[in-house]
Amino acid sequence: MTLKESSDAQLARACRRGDSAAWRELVRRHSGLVYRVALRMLRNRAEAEDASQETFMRVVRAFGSYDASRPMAPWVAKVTYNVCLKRIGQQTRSRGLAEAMAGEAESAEPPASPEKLVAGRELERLVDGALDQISAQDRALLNLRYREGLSDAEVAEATDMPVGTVKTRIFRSRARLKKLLRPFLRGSGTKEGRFR
Amino acid sequence: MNEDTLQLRVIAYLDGQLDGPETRRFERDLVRQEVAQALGEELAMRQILADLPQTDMPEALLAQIQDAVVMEAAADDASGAAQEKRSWLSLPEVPGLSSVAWMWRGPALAVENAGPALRGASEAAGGLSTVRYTAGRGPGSVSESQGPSVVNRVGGKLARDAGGLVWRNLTGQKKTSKPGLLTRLLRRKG
Repeated sequence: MTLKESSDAQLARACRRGDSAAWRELVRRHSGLVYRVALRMLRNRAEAEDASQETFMRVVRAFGSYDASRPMAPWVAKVTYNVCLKRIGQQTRSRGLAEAMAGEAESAEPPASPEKLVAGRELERLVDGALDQISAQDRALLNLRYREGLSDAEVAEATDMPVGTVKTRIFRSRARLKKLLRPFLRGSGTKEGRFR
Repeated sequence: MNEDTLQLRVIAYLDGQLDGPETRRFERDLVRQEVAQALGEELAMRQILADLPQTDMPEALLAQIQDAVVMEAAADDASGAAQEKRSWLSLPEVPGLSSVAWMWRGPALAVENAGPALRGASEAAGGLSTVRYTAGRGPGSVSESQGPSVVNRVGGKLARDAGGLVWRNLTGQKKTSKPGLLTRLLRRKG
């Protein structure tokens, strides 16, 4: 069996043996999750790249605390979430809340061109804009639940929140998003249908 | 049924959290427009979130992180091995020595606090309470006037015990009625 096909537990054992190929595979396997959560929370590519690197360094140092009988994705997501929260706290402290918000506005994508609108980027822009209106923590919860496909319990594990809190926060964030995106949701319910 | 309750039912249905009868009831309710609409909106919402741009980590960054992780893991292994080499101090005798060090703290504090001419009986009684905390024994209550003498007495006893413990830990001898070398030295000094 190759490392690519190995289970999380097998990969963890290989990493603990000091197998460098296993470490490379671990990074490859979780790079998407780490990068997307960081990008969703920090809303800035450069910051997300730094946070991704910091996350994996922490994963190596804290690997002893990983319980190999459990899935690795929620554990890696937890490290990512904490790294991003810390960075948001640092940004807020050093720049002040108002400045941080201005920075977010600067890093937002410019208005879409007509070609992009035709290609359906308008919806993405609107969704991004709507996501900007909820907190970084709630963005992370939605991303982990619906983009990364973690269960409520796994999201709770990743964020150190009780499952009930996770469900409530996701429910509220989704209700807020729904209000903002209602014109698009009241179509046929399919992506194609919305643009017909 | 209000909007929130309906929404919760829709989510529970899609997540497979409704039991058999509840599922059938929900499916019967789908003929109602508001229920069908809520289900359609929830499905569209999930689709939108799942369709968020597929932002994978840039290849160059991935390679850079992989290299850094391999180096970090190797450094971690190396420092772990070095620590193992140094860990001869954690041999079985060491807990004994550390407990001796811990025992010594009592008399040291007691002696420091017992200088009657310097700090007075009040502080000495305070010192005794430290000795009692450290050693877990000693007289029940001590008045300020008794302080210095009691502290000296208890401190001396602890010093003798500690000396014997050091000697037994170093030599592996069992406790005998004959005092050990350190105890004899301490007595001679006293």
